[in-house]
Amino acid sequence: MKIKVKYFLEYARLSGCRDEEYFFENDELVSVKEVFKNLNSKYNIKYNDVANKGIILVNNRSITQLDMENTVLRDGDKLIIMPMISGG
Amino acid sequence: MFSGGYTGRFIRINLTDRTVKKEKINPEWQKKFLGARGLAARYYYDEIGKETKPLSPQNKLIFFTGPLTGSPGPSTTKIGLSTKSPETRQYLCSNGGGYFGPHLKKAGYDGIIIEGKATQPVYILIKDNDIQIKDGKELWGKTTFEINKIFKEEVGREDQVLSCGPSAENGVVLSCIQIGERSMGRGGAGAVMASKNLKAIAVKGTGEVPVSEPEKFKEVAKKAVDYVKKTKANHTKYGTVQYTAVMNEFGAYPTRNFQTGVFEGIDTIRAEYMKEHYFVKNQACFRCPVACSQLCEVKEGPFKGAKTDPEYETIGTLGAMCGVSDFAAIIKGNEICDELGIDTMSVGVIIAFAMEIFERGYITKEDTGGLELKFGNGKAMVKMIEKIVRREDIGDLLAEGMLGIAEKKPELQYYLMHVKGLPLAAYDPRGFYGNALTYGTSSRGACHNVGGWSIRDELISGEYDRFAVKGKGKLIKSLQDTRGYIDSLGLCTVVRSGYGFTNKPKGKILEYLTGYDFTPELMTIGERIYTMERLILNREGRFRKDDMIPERLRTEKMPEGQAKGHVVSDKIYNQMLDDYYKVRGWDKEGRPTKERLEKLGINDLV
Repeated sequence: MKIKVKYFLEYARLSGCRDEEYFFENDELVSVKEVFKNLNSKYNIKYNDVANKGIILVNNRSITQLDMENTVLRDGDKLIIMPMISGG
Repeated sequence: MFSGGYTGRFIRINLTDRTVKKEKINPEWQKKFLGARGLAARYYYDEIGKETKPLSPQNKLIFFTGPLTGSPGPSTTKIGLSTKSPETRQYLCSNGGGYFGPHLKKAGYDGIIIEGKATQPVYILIKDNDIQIKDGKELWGKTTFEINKIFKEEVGREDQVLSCGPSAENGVVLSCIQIGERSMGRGGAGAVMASKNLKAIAVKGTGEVPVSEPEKFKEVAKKAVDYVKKTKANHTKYGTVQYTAVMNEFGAYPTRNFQTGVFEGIDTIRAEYMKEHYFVKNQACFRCPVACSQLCEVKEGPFKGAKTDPEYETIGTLGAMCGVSDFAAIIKGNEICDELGIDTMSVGVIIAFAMEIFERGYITKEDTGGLELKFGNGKAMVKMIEKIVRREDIGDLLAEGMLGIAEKKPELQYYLMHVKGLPLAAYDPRGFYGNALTYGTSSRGACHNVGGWSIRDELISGEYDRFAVKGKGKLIKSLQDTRGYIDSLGLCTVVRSGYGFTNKPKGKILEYLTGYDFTPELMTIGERIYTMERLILNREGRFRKDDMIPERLRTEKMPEGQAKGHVVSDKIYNQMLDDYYKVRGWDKEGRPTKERLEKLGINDLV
């Protein structure tokens, strides 16, 4: 299965790109935790860092409104990694 | 009652009589309303009546600093203002940074109230105890940039100078007040200033702000600086522009007058692009370790030489709102707005309106003085700002603001994106339903700050869903009350959490500053201020009917992006509004009940 990952600001800098596709050969679904294992080894983007200082969205919903690191992604799903927002 | 933070007195200047008085502030008012926004609102309540016309001598400019203004902590820069707005024809609260507020406090005053009207243009010079109203005839007609340069000689820095520009002198209701390159942007306070023949106020203070327990204060202040440096790195690196691409991703980035929430030109107006092609250096307000202002310069092309520090909102309103993806045009537009003294946000949304009615054939090149005023035309956007300032061609109509345009062209009201006369900001409520309540119930008209910025909570809190109504009343109230007290402290909001100022305030910095422990009362103070503002609005004839959001957002489904298909229908909006009124303890018409006023200790106001 394949998912799309989108990066913003410092995460785009760490990954060197704004978006890319990830293939998981032997899986039909994969958890956010597992995707981050990849991101950590490839780009040094750690789940704990992002969960504390940033926002992780699966299909446009924050994982804090889903199942946190156990949130599941299926074929065609989208993961977004961005810094925390504060405005006004 | 207080042993620091406040000086306890303010200056009252009557321009008709040319008198200067120093008056004491009632410490009970400081205790109940804190300072800045809260204190300015309390004085407004007593001194500006419902019949007062905004551009008449009876209107007043009520400036107050907060207790933290000018004190030795990070970003203690702010001064607040209340006045009756010519743009909304009702109560306005506004605030600005730079060094003006701190120097006013160091000169020995918590605030200034300006009333009446001078017979000829004047300016005010404050140097510690010496306060003078001086002949300003030669200054009339000058741009704010020229005024800044002239007075920098006199007082030390450009942002110790507060001024209005040619736009205000032409009675354009969207005209702002400039503090150096910073703005008290919204609501037309600049036009009020010009209507009094007051061109500028320059201040230099050589004293220090008294602090009750200086060592303890400095310890907490240092922790605040460390915390802010750690958590606000993106503000230093990108400024508020960091949210541009993010809001676009959420599908809530108003484009072409709210026709959609996704801008196809995003890549040339986002933070990375700005930094690569235009960034020059950071600039800081008083004692600020973040320095979020991103000074940019256009190095080539038709706008070569334009220089300014664009913010998220300005890029949103002069950019995507107008369909403009040329960042150089946005910088030029921003520079002109600062120079001539007009609000970048209101002018952007009003030009977007003009672009839409041009494209739909309601107006032609005859009305625009030959401009091809279509969405995406950056050059036309820039020229239109100048036409509004000079009241040329259709600029004359647009200079009257949303309410003025609606009166003259009621058939075009559908395209006017405002609440209570104040144009919306660069967030689309169809992407975050709570944002509709924010715009609808903000004390000064559609404002994403005063109305409570809800985007993060709606996005990540487990309690809410951005596309649902549940809990939004409680959320918006909490955000508004928090903002109510923060706007009254004299602090820049960017660093507030470094000091412990959240919706669950902690820490003792206000006690170390003033000798009084405000912390347990802060959220109540915020609610009290917000509710008092509501009493003013009711007195000025604003009720539920004025808390409505534009029809487009209630009837047109978002055509694309993350919010595709969403609309804040009448049913949804009224449900949220009822919920909000209930949580606020207001009746169904949006009037605070006696019980709530008693609870907040302001039943004496009715």
